[in-house]
Amino acid sequence: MAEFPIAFAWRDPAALAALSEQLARERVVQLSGFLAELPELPPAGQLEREERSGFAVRATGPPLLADFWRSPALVEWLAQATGARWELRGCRYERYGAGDYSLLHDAEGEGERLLLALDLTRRPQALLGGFHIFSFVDGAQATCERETGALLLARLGAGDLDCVRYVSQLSQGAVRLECAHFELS
Amino acid sequence: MHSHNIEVIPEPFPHAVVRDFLDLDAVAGELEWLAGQEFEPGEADLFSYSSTRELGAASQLAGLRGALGDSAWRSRVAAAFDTPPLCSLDLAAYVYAQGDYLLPHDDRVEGRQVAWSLHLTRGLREQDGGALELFDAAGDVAGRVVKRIVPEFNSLVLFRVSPRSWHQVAEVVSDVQRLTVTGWYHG
Repeated sequence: MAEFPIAFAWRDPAALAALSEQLARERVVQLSGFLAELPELPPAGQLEREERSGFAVRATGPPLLADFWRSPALVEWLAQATGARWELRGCRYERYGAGDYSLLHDAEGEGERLLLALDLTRRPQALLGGFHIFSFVDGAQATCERETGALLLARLGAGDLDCVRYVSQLSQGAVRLECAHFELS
Repeated sequence: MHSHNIEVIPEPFPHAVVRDFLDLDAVAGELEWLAGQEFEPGEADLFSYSSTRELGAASQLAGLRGALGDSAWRSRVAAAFDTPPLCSLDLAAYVYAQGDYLLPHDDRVEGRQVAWSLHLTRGLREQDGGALELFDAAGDVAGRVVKRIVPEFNSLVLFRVSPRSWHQVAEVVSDVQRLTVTGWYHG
C-alpha cells in the first residue's frame, strides 16, 4: 500500500464527502490523478493473449497493484466513499491494442459490485475507440473516455454490464487498465 | 440473373458467393435511389456503421426485391442450404466508412434461415478492410477467422444462419465507403 498511496486530493475529508454525495447520484465516476504515483507497465511479453471472439480479445496479466487493492486503507476509503464495505473478488492488468475489444456480456451470479479501473493508458488522444461503455439494466448508458491516471469507479448491480470499445486499427498505442472487482462484504 | 448457380461451400459453415447477381441495367435507377437514401450512423459495443431504415416494402426497389425475393429464387436458396421454405426477406442498406466495423456474432434471431449481403461498392481491395470474415467454431463458440471474403461489386454472399455461423466485418481502414444491401430470408 505504501508504494502507491491514494493522492491527497482524494483522501481529503471534504473531497471524500463530495465524492460520497456524487456516488449517491451517479453510478460511474472518474477520479483524475487518483494515485500519487503510477506503477510501471509490464513488458508486452509478460502478458497472455485472451482471444474469445464474440466476447473479448485482449491481453491480460497479473495485477500491478495487488497489494494496493487488498490494503485496509483502500477498503476504508471505499467504505467512506460508498457507505458500504467491499471485499476484493479479483484483479488483473488488461491491455487492448489495435483490433482488441470486449463486449457487453452477462456474468452469471453477479449482484451488487464495484468495478475499479485505474487507467494507465499512455497518450489516450492517439486512440480511436477504446473508451469504456456501461449499460445498465434500467436502460441507461454511460461512456467514459480514457484519461491517464484516472480511476474509473463504477457501482454496478445485477444485470449491469461494461466493456471496452473496439480499438481501431488506425489507433496508435493501446488501452492499459489495472482492474479490480469488489463485492459487498 | 436467376440462372446463377448457388455453389454452397460447407466450411467453416455453409456459405456461397454468387457473382454478377444483378442485371445492372435493369436496376440502375434503383441503385441510384438507394445511394440517395438517408443513412443513420449507429454505434454499439458490437458495431459501428450507418444504415437505412428497413427497405423491404420500398416500392422504389421493386426490381431488387424481385431479384432477391421471387419464389423460384427463394426455392433455390432453400434447396441449396437445406432449409424449410423461405417465406419472406427483409432488407436494409449499410455503409461502412473508414473506422467502421462489425464484431463477431452468429446472426441467430428467431426465424432467420439464410443471411445475405449484396455488395455494391466497386473496386474494394483487401487492404481497404471491410472483408466479411468467417470463423470456425467449436460447438457454438467462435474460434479463429478461417476465411476472408473481400467484397466484390455485384456479388451476393449467402450463408446459413446457425450456431456455427460466426462472422464479422473487418474494420474499414481506407477512405472508402463499403455499401451493401443486407438482410435475411425467413422460414
